[in-house]
Amino acid sequence: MNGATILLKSLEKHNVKTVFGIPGGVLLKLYDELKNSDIEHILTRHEQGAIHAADGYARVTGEVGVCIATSGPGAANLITGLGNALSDSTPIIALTGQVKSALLGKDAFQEINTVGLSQAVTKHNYIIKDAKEIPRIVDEAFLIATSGRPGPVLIDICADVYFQEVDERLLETSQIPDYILKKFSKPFVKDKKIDKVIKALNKAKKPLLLVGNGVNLSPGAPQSLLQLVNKLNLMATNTLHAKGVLDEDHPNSLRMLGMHGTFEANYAIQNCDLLINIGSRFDDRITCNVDHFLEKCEYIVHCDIDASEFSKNVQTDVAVQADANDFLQALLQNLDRIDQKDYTAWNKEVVSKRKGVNDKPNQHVHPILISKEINNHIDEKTIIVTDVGQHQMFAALYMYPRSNRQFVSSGGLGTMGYGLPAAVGSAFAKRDNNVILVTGDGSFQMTFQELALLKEYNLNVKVVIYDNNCLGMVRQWQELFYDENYAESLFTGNPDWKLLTASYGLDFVSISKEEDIDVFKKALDKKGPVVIEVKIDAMANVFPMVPSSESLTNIRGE
Amino acid sequence: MEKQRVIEIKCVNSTGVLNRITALFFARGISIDSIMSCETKKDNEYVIFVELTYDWKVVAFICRLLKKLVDVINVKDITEEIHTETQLTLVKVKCTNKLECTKHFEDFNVEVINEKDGKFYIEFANSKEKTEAFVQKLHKLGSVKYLKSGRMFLK
Repeated sequence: MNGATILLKSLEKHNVKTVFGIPGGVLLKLYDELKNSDIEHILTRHEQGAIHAADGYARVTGEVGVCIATSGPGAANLITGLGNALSDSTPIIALTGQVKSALLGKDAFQEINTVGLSQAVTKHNYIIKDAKEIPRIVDEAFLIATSGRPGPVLIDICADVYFQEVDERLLETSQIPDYILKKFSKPFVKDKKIDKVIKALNKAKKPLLLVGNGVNLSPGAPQSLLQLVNKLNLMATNTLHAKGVLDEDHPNSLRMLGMHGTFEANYAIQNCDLLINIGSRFDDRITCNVDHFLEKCEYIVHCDIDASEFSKNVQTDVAVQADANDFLQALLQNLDRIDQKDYTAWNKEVVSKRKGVNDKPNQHVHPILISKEINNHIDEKTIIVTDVGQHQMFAALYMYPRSNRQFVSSGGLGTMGYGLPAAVGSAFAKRDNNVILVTGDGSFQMTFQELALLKEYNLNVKVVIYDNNCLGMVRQWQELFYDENYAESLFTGNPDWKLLTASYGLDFVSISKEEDIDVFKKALDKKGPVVIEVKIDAMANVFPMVPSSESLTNIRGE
Repeated sequence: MEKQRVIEIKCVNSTGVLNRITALFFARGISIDSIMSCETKKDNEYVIFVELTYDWKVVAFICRLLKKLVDVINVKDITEEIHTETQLTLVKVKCTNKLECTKHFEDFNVEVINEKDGKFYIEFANSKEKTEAFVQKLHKLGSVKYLKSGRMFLK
C-alpha cells in the first residue's frame, strides 16, 4: 500500500467523510488516490476558504474538520484559519503538502517551512518524512485535536512519502505512545473542589452563572445547565460562543455580556457576589477593563478543561479543571447539599436593567429590524453564521439560535472573511438545515470567491450582506473615539452585488427600506442559495457598547 | 518580586521539542538566562533546565503553558527545592609548567585534564557562586580562554 492510500485509510478509520481543499504539485499522488476513496473532497477556491469551511463543519457537528493545502503558498494561506481554530477551540486536521524530503531546506519550488510557520497557531504539528509514521501520527493528531480543549493540528507530508510502499497492517498495529495517552486523558472532577463550590453557593446572595464555549462544546452540558438553572433559579449570562446553549428567551437568561453585552448581563456581572464561570476564558472582550471587572464579586469559581486559563486574566478562588458537563453533573448530583434559596429579589433587580431597543429606520432599514425578521425564521435546526464586525454584534444581540452548535462565528481571532466559507462548511455538514449567513460588505469581500460552491452544490445558504459602504465597526470606533476621523474605513468602489452574484449564477434580492421586508421574508423562505443585499445606514452604530479601557459599569446606550 | 528562578522540564526528545519550548518564551517576550538539556535514566526522556529572572507569577504562567505542549511530560518551578547544583567551566590557560598552573587555582578544586604545547586544559565543576569567583580569577589571569555551561540541578 502506498503512503497516499494509507493516509486516506487512516482518515477513514477516524470517520472522515468530507474534506475541503485545493490540490497542487506535491499533492498530485494524494489526489490521484483520493478519487478512489470514499472521502468526498470539496474543492474550495482559496485555501483560507478550505480551512474556514472545515472549521464551520467541525463547529456544527462536533467532529473533526479536515482540510488539505499544497506546499508553500497553499500552506501559508491556512495560517489565519489555524489561528482562528486555535482561538475558538475548533478541532481541525490540516494536511499540507511538502517538497520531497531530499529537498527540504534547499529552497525548492513552493517550499516553505510549514511546521515553523504554523507552530504558533496550532495545538501541535508534525512533519512526515517516512510513510510508516502516517497511521500513528494521524491517530495522535485526532486524539490531540479532540481531547481536552479542542484545537487544530497540522500534518506536513513530504511529496515522496505518498509514493513510498508500506505494510497496510500498520493501520491496525500503530500505537500512540503512553505519555500522549496519559497527557490527553480526561480530568476527573475533584470532590474537594465541588465542596468549595457548594459552600460558596450556600453563602451567596447574588449568584451568577457565566456560560462559555466550554458548555457549547461539551456533549450533554447544555441540558445539564438548563437543569441546574431551573432547579436553583440561577441567573445566567453567556459569551458569544455560548449563544444557543441556554435559550435566550428563558426567564433566567441575561443574554450576552461584555463589550457589546446587554445592560442586564453587564449589570449582573458587576453586582453579583458569586460568579461561576463554566468554560469561558475571561477574554478581554467580556471583561473590558479587567481591573474593574466583577467589582462587587466576593467569590469566583472557574471551571475550564484547560488549566492554563486559571487566573490568567482574572484571579479565581476555586479553579476546577473539568469538562463542563462533568462539572455540571457533579453539581446536579449534589443538589441535596445545595440550599434552595430565594433569589427573586436579585433576579428582579437584574432583569429591571433590561432596556428596549430603538429599531426605527433612518434613511434605510435598520439592522435590528432585519435581525428580528431573521429571528422569526429561525427554527430548531437553523444555523446562524456570522462574519466579523457590526453585523456580528447585531446578530449576537438580536438573533437567538435554538440550540448549541448553531451559532458559528469567529470570536477570539475576529477573522473577517470567516463567514462565507464557514457557512459553506456548515451547510455541507448539515445538509437538511437552513444556514443563514450574516455578513458585511467589508468581511464578504475578503472571501466571496466561495460563492461558487453555493451554486455548484445548491447549498441551502442565505447570504445576508449588510451593505453600509464601509468597515462599520472601524467607522463606529472612529466616530466615538477618534473625532470622526474616518481614516480609510469608507468604501467608494463596492461592486454591484447583483452583477457579482449573477456572474456566479445565484439568485439575488436587494432591500433598502422597511417596506421591503416582505421581499426579504420571501427570499429567506426560498429553497437553495440566495444572496440578499440589505442597504443599511452607514452611520448606524451597534449599542450597547463599553469602551475597551473602561469598566463594564460604564455601558453606553444610544 | 523578580528573582532568578529555575524551571525543570521533563520531555520526550522528539524533533523540534526545544523549538516548541523556547518559542513559548519568545512569543511572550520572556528572555532565558540559561538553558541546559540533560539525559535521564529513562529511555528517550530528557530534562531541560531553564533559568530566567522574572516574577513568580510570570514563571507560573509559562509553566502552565509549557505543560500543554504534547512532548512535554512535566514542568515544575524547582527554585525552592534545589539541593544540588553544578555548572561546568572549561579553561585553556598558558603556563610554564603544571605546578604553576595548579598554583594559580589553588583555592579551587580544579582538574587538569590535558596539556599540550605549554597550554593547560582545566575543568572546574561547582556551584554558581563558586563559578563566579572562579571566573573572576580567570579574568585576572589575562590571556585565558574559557567556556561556561548552563547549570544542572538535582532536587
